[in-house]
Amino acid sequence: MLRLLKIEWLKLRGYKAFWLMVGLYLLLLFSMTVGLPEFLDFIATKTQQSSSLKAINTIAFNFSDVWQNLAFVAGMRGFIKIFLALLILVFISNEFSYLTVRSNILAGLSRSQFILGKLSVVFLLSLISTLALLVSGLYLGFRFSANTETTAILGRIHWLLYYFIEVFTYLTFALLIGILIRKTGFAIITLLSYIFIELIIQYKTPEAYEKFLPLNAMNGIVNGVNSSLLQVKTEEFDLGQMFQSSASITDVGLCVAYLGIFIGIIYLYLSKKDL
Amino acid sequence: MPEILSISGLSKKYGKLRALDNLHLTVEQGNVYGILGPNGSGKTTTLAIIMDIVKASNGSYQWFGREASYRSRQRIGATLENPHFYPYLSALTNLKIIASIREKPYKDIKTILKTVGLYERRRDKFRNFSMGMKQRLAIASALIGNPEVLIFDEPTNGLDPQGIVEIRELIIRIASQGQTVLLASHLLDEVQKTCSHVAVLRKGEKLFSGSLDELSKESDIIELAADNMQNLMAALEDIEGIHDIRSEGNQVLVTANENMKSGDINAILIEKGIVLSHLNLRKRSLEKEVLKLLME
Repeated sequence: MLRLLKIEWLKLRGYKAFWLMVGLYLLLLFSMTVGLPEFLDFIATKTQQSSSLKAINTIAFNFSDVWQNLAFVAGMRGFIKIFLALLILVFISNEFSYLTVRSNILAGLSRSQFILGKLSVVFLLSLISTLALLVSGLYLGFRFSANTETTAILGRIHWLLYYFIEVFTYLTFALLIGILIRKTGFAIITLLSYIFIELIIQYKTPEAYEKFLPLNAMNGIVNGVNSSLLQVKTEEFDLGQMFQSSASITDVGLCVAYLGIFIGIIYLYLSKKDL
Repeated sequence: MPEILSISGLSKKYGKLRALDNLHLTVEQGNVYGILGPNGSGKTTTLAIIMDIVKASNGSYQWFGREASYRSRQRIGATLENPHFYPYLSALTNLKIIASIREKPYKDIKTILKTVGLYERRRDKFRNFSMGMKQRLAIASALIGNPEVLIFDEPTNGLDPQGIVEIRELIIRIASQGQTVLLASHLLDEVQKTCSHVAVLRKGEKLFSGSLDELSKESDIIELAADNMQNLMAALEDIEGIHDIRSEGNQVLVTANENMKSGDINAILIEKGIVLSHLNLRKRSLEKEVLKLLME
């Protein structure tokens, strides 16, 4: 395993475009999470609903709700997460468009080792993204929380694990698309258009089955925000559908099941295919 | 000699096209095996299958007497068709990647880069390399870890004349160290200069496999000349074990059976009172032999 990571590290270390994109992603993520309160303040001054937005600002970043709320924002489909997926697409489709996957196998990598190496990079990238959320959460939490006791901080920190599972599954999905499509440009187009394709499919799907669609499942664990204060609804303050108090084990299972399916398809495809 | 590679009944179909049809081949330790054939005859397909790049439609192969795995590939250094490396990385980093995959130390890399003449350019990115330099890097990657078996697929492709000579000498040097070599080429001259054994393929079918001597058996041509050519021709007609007597310019060409050496012919002719002014054994080129095979 360490050997596989070392091989991938050698491939990536000198790849400037990759690190530029990682840096850009982290910059975007931090400026979003850290700048979220200011952003909400800004919106508040420009719109009619200033009171409710200001209310969000004071309650959303409390320990320990901050973990779920950040996980929700950072995990939204069609948002900042796409940046990570693009990274993975470039990373994997390079191997096929430059045909370096052949040199890898030729030199003595097994096909499953090749996949495992790629998955370990996907894993690490998901971890980096989760750690960035941890840092953002600590910053926001200490800035806005009245209660900064350890129990409050760690209380609902497992939402970061949910985020990790979601993002790892999503990036494995990107890995699968990259392997199937092989050409970087086409792979990116496919990934982006799938967001809309799934919306169309969802429109035709009975509501009870909607959550089984891949992207829905990959966003199914963390599908709303939370605040202990939000449980009080007022006339001018109702987040309705956006509200989620706890994650269901079924949704976690569904997401993990998709992860297994994606890895299974990658494995079956690559172990039979001419390279 | 122990078997290094044994291929049995290997076939590959691409849709309707038969790229390889029921190939059987055995390579023994120390063989320098040339795989010959025109473009599209299945040379690269064969090599790609035995290196797990391409999956066979039928048949099987064994490396080192065992079922092939990544472990066996780690003992083989190979180049296949065009060189494929990470364009945004230096020659050195690309070779480090290969060394890590092969689980070999980096310390040989410097020597290998010098051997293939890329040491000065080791920090340059692969994408800035010329075709010849890319080919040299591919050969370098095959040499990492001093593998027991080397596979070269058209190794002199894209090289300049000097490069061709250098790489050819390198292969001859490797072969003389007792390493097993598989060399696919459509350049017959290249194979003749380096190989001990050959397999000839055409449209995915094997036409011949065996040692180079076996291929050119019975095919030595002897050039003769004497003051009186008519007498010489007449005398030759009477000698057993000689056939295909024909004149070419001011020489007579004959093809002799295996046990009839040029010295024997000379002795017989002297007995008959004919003194030769010219006697030369002309080895028929591999090119002619292979062309003959391909035409059949």
